[in-house]
Amino acid sequence: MLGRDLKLKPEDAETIIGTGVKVEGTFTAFGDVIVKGQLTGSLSTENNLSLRSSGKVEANIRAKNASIGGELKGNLTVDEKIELAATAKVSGDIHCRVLAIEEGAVLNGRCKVGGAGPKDTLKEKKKEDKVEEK
Amino acid sequence: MYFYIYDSFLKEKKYAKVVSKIETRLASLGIAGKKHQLSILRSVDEMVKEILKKESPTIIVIGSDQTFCQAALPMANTNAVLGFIPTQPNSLMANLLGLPVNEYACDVVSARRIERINFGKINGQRFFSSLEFDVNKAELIADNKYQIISKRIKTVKVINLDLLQFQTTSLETDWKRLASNPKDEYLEVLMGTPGKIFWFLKRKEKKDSLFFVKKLKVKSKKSNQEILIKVDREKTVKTPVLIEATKEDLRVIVGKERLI
Repeated sequence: MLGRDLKLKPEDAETIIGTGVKVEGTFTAFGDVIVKGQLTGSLSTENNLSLRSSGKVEANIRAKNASIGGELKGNLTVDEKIELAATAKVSGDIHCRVLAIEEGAVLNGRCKVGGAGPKDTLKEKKKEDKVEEK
Repeated sequence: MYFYIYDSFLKEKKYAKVVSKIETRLASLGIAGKKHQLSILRSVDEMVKEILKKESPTIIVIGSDQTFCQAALPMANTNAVLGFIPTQPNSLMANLLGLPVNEYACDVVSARRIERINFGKINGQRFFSSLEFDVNKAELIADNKYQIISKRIKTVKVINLDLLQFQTTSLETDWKRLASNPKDEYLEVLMGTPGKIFWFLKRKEKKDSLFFVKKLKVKSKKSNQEILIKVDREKTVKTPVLIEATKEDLRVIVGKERLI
């Protein structure tokens, strides 16, 4: 019974980049991603990202929601909510609909928060492009 | 029609009682069929290929996990159905497929609850369960997009149908799920350090990372070195290799308590 409940589709799978691993390149996932180790390049997921306190990322990130507790050098574009924990160190621009920053978090970069969020902004841009083409 | 492949070790006297109980149960359920006995002279592969010439057969392997995995390989993309009656108490496949051991598995076979299970491929050759290799000297490139570099990891397990752990028996609940999903056209790449027992000291296994890939290229960091990859806990293949998830599948009889 336990196993049946834990059955997972790739969309909601939980990719884990552990402390003993470094990933280099274009990393794309469908499900939730947990980063405890290192990643350089780019990271995108259709679901949630959790960068733990031991994690170090040098990449532009795209996700649905993001919880940052580690070190990030790169831009962070999130459709919904970004949570910066007290241990977070972010050097890069942030774009999201909702931003929550805990006391102690370090953020060096520009913030674009609220409104439609990046997902809808992108959709609007595409629509505008199409209209211009016509 | 049912075809039963008996593992070679079942010829031994100590298994006579188990075999007799299984046969009695099969007969009472009305699913008795043709018996094929494995021996040194007759391989599983040959035997399955011969049975597959018949129209949509149901092949039931009685015996070990290894024989069951071997029997599955030639059955990809056929109309045949594969079943399993495990006779070993620690059977991993029994655990994954939700099968009881010995004569109790006959009821599950009779119920014919069927799931489609995909295969994986290593250098074009099918594998059914998992691959395992030492990662220290290996270079891994996933989906032609990113490289996975190991820093403190010892072992990599590429999983099609297996537990998401290095141990084959006990189940730990700290991981989000227990078994792979062999129906999603992805392979799970588990990285960590397997547990070990030195005399009376026990080292617990450490699971570090988990990736979902469609393709994984593995080669040695040094051109003059080869890495041995254990396929389905039996044969070995040398690097460089290309490991892929495939759409090729097989119909397998499973139980209610399955993990997949």
